[in-house]
Amino acid sequence: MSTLRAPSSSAEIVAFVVFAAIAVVGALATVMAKNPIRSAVGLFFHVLALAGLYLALSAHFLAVIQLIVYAGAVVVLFVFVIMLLGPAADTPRDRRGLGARITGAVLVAISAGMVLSHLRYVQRPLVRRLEEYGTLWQIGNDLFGRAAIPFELVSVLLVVAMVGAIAISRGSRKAAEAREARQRAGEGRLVAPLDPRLSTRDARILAEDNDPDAARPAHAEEHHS
Amino acid sequence: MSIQLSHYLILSGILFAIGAAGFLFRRNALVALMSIELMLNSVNLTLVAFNRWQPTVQVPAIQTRAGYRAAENARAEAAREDEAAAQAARRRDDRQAQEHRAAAQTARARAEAVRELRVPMIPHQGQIFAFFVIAVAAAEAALGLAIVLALYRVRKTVRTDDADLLKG
Repeated sequence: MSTLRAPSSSAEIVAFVVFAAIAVVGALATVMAKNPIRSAVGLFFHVLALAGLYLALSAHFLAVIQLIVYAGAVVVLFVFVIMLLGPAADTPRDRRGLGARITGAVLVAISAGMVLSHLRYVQRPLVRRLEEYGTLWQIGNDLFGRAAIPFELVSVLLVVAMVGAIAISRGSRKAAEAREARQRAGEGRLVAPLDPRLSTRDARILAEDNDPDAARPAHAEEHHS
Repeated sequence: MSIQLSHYLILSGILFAIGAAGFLFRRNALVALMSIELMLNSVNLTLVAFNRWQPTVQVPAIQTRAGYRAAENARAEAAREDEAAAQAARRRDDRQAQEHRAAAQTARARAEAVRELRVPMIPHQGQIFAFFVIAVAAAEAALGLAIVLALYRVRKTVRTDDADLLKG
């Protein structure tokens, strides 16, 4: 006879309602907040609530992984990038045009209706929670047993993603050198002649890029003289 | 009333719709990436909920913790009894050696019985799949943010509408 009692049905309901509410509010805050840092905070609470729901579903291992990977790594990565970009992370006039918004809303409503209309087919009897379901031992047994090869492939995926992220975010060295050389030479001109088809925004960006007053390296002067 | 599978499915459907709407409505590349994370998370919730409501299957008892422990204990006991039998044989105590050999035999038979046994267990495919989805989502976040940084370097903005370098 175990001293641990199974959680009562009402406790289960309360846990589900509370975590579900936090998850929905967090998701809404993520999507609707103007400031991206608020979006990141919304995502953080959403992730915490999902970890709670995983616990209610007796997926202990996944709840911990969710906290470590999402709350500990992904959200922090988002915050890093937002802080790195500074004010540029905020995009004014963020909302799309009315046509795109209505189309999107209709598409979302249609797909949600299709999913909800099929939900009554998935009534299933709940199996009594087995003693060993969801424990670290069992998950590890399955992960390193039947799922061993995909598990190893995940490490390859993560290495590729890491190398790719570094390569992309470091940028092309050639482009940086060209820009530096142009600044050193003190050319105020654009590399390519200004194309009349360029939008005003592009022209402004190119002009800013080639602004002779902008941050010329200090050693450029002595190099010249 | 109790919490059913359909409650979890409705919740994850709502979360997926919120994520999809955010991806469609927002122009900020960072918020678009976060919306993708929301969608992946809702899929994970579906997988874990389905896994909880999955019927049991019969698996070898050796694949459960209790069964593995039982088999290990029986094997260790057999080894102990073998050792004791060898010592008794060295002491030329034939009766003792015989007893220990018989005990080792029963222990080995017990380990074999555990190996044959099958017990009901809910398989964990859903949770394992969710684990892989989390790994893919982490890789996607790292690469997406790197692309956002590269876009910012070129265009000085993170609006997705300004990522039109491939436009003819």
